[in-house]
Amino acid sequence: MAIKKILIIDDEMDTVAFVEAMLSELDDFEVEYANNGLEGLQKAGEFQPDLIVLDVQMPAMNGFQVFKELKKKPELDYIPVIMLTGFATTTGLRYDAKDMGITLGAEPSAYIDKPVEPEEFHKTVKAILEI
Amino acid sequence: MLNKENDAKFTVEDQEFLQAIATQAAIAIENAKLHGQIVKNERLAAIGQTVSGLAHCIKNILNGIQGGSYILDLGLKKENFANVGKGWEIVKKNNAFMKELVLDMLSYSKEREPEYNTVDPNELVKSVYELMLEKGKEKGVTLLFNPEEKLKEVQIDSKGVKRTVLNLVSNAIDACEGVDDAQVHISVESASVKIFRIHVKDTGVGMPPEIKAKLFQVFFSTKGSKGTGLGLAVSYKIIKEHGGHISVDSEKGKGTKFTIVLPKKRK
Repeated sequence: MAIKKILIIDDEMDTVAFVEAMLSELDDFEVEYANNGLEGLQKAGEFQPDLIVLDVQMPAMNGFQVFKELKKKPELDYIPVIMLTGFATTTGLRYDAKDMGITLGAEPSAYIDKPVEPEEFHKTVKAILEI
Repeated sequence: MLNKENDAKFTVEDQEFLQAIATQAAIAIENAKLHGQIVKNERLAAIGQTVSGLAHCIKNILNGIQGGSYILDLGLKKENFANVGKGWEIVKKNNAFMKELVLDMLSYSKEREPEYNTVDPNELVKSVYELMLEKGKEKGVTLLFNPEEKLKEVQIDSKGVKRTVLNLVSNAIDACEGVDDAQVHISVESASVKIFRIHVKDTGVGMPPEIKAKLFQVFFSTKGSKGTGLGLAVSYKIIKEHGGHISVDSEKGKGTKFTIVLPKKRK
């Protein structure tokens, strides 16, 4: 079976390391990362990942803006996206794209709230990639 | 009307007059109540916004601690001591962020008098310059420092002012990321008999007017998850407590200059 490819787009290297570590416990993946939105979009085009893990709060171009751009490109719009966000509360209220004045159109495959629980992350990735 | 003599009765005109006064008084009381409610609602909204900003900041730090301890655990499980070290460093770093956040919150929340001492402002600013040289080098940014030779001593809260200058210089270096031949120029200037200035000028990305307008707001940050959004608010407060102020001049694509203006002697 072909090795699945995962792209992490996050400006915070500690989060990149955390996500990589969680993925390493789940399966063998080919993992790439980008530290900002523009770089992420470029890498997505080159790398053609099976899944993108995308942070919401990034300088210059936030995760929702990156998501919108991904959905505009026919060669990338099929890729499932997990949004990592620190904005949500335990009551399920989420400071979302609308609160940032962004209309997404499509919805991400999943939102995961920070601090990320590895069990929830594993469950979400397994469901999306059907592994 | 109130001084009727000889048991004179109130007339219809008196009644109408009293009615008009009562109506005006009622309107004034109602307006005062409404105004009080508006102020209360604004205060509650501001508190809500602050709590939400704080929660977001803390969540990001907790994520760092969660991640660091996860990596550390994995490292112990697989006897991979490089990962043990990596995880522990991440935990330590986020622990330090939490400490910084709490300190900033306390600084921001309390009305305080500066703890004045007499210092050489050039030595103070030079110590920040030397501290930040390494960060500048890592990010490919040249730091320059120009002292004011004529100025030998001032009365300031040296810890608070040093913290402010450190914050501005650190932000300036961050603003230069990705810019070729970027420079951060720090200087001290004796502006008059009573006033001196500290300038922090960068050749970084600059900022548009809408960002500049929100710069000193609590929990406003342009640094993504790296910024607490309290640094500039606290810096502004520290300088205000001295009777000084901070101004900012910036143009997108050209760079930014912060100027701290302080009295030379305690107020």
